[in-house]
Amino acid sequence: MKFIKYFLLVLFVCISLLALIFVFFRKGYNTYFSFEQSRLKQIINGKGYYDALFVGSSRTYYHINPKIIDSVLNLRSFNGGIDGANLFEINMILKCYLASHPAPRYVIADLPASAFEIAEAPIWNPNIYFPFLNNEIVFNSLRPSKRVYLLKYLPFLQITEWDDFLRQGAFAGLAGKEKPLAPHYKGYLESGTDTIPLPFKMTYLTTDFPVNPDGTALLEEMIKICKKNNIRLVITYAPVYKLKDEKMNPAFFPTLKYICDTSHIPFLSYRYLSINNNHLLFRDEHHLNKHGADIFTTLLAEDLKNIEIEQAVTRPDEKILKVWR
Amino acid sequence: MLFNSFDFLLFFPVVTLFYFLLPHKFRWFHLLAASCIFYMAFVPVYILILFATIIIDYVAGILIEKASGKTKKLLLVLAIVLNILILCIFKYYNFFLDQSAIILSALGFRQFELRYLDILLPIGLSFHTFQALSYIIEVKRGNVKAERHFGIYSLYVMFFPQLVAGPIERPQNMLHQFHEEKHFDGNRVIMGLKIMLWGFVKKLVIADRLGIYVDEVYSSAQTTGSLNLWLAVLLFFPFQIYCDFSGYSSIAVGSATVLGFNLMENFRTPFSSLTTSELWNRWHISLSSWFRDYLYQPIVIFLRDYGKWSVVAGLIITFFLSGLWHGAGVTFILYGLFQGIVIVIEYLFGVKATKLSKKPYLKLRGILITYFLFSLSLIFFRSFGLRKAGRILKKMFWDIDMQFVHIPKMADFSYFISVASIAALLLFEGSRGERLLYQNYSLRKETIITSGMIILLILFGVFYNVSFIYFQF
Repeated sequence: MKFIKYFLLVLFVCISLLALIFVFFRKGYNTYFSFEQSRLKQIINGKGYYDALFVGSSRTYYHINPKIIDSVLNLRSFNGGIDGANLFEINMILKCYLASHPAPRYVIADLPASAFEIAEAPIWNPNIYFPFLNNEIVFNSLRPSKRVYLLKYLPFLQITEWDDFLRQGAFAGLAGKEKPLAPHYKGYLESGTDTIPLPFKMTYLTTDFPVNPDGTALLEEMIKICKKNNIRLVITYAPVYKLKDEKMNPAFFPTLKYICDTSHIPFLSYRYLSINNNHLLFRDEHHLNKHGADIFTTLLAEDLKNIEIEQAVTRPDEKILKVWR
Repeated sequence: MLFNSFDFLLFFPVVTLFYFLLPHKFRWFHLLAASCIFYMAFVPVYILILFATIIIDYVAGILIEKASGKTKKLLLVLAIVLNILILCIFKYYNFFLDQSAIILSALGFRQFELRYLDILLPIGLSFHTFQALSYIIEVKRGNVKAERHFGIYSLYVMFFPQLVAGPIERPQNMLHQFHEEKHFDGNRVIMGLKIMLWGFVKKLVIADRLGIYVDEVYSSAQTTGSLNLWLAVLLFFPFQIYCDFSGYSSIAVGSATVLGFNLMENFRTPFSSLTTSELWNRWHISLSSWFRDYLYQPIVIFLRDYGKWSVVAGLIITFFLSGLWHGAGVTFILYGLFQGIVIVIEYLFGVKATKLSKKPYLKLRGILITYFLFSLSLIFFRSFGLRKAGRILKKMFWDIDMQFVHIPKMADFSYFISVASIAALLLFEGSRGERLLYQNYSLRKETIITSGMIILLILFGVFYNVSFIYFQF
């Protein structure tokens, strides 16, 4: 009898106290990571209309400045890039966006070298989505890799998924602090003015990311979604410093090019730009700094204008060649 | 199956529930089946190796008991050789090939083609081999009767709480417990759960957080600063390994307690030891007492005519083999020898804990020196290769740069929690806080203790399913 009382009491005390503590932790977390959270809220639950949605990884998040895009193309655009996203996560973002917003006219997807590698846990940082577990698309996307039922119905268990940076952020948020951020605008976050120090050292592992059939299927799914919603899809590959991605993607470009060709999707690669040799424009080999991002966004905006995005692209090969500098 | 996995969180309550629901005569089978599932969660096929050991020792036990005189001895030697052979094939074969090649080439023999075994070391092989060895030795010594029930004997080797990393039990303590009928005892279950939770706190809140820093510093020893190394070597790694292994032992002891079994104590506040010899009576007690009873004492008795040199030889051989037991590598041998040499020096100079404990400053000095020497020896334990160990020592004591390099995976909060949790652990152990775990209290107090540990775990635990360090042995 004592054991049953003990068991029930422990259960009651733990659940009530943890639920209470979590309310504070979540409040602190939301305060500290307010930019990231409000940005995701805008993507997942927002209602507004944008003409162009940029999706991709950190190479979208820190590269595409909607201010430049909007002024050059006279559009309303939003940057929906997510750190570490592969095609699984990019698709999830796109689906979430389409479920709550009116369909945009254009989706510009920048695919990183790792886009086709769909691992067992395909979402790079699931923590950012836990506040959105009520969203069916998010819930189902996280289900294969996370115990989403527990995380949804006993939300204090989300803390067990946090690392110390998030815990620290939650405590700082409780003290009323917000994460120090660079200027940001419509989903874009400036990545600062740091440059690649010379002599150059690789920041990222030169992993040969495989092209999984799941990955290619996801790209094909994205194309279908866009066609179904009457969205013009453009695929891009953002600049990389001095071709330092060579070992990462031997099968990446042939696969991407094949799918784009067969589906008549414009593919704009910025791998061979002359600015890619300028270490002063990069933060690391895969990420431009603020100056580089401004130049790249301007070039992209011009190219999007040049390929007459309003018109159906009938000769994608020609366009691809045009922007391969 | 890892103790710190979600699978175990489901596995253990289910096993416990059915264990107490089943009639006594079926319980051995239930526990054996559960142990097989537990072990096969790692690499299923390796259970065959375990069964081979079980069959050899089961038969050997009966034959040894029946035999007499020289035959008894011969059977014991044969059983030991077979056990050690299995251990050597899976754990030391590649290491022996490497070392023989080095020796042969140094002697001028030409290089020859070596065929390495491309296999993983079966989890916990060293542990259950030693547990099986202690059975046949005790049967030979007549301290325990050979077990006739094959299922119970298998359970003695395979009992899941201590299957993969000990404590290395003795047949006198364990075998009879499997025959006894256990009744559900609420107080005992509460005690067991508290001990388990404390193990989880040590592993998930302390060890795995310290491990993040230690892994980073050891993997980039060349580029990291001397201050980083001092922190890793002299504070974080000793506490990481202590909390990791003693955490495992607490979970093992606690889960066995819930089921009604008593396992031996494996750690007794080792970092408060005044001498290295005392430390080895408090650190991994089940292994050090195994070596003491089955190796050290027989050596000393065998060499008794050589006076104190018999002790010296006994210590060096024992610690050499203890190092080798930990892993097939020169660094592990050096780790063992380092301990052995320190204990030999203590023995030759008459340094004894009883003497040091009389004066506070001698006590403090003893604790600090013992801890410092042990921390240093762990460099060999943690470094994969002599060159790396040398580099670390050089950077710590010779090429000192007084730099602290930022570790990207460590937040400021991680350092704070790491240091605070080490301090809390020392305070808890120093004030004999473990009494809270091993005694029963009022319902209110039990609820506070248990809930406190659960909340601590959820708020500050590192839940990356990091394996236990001693699983590799």
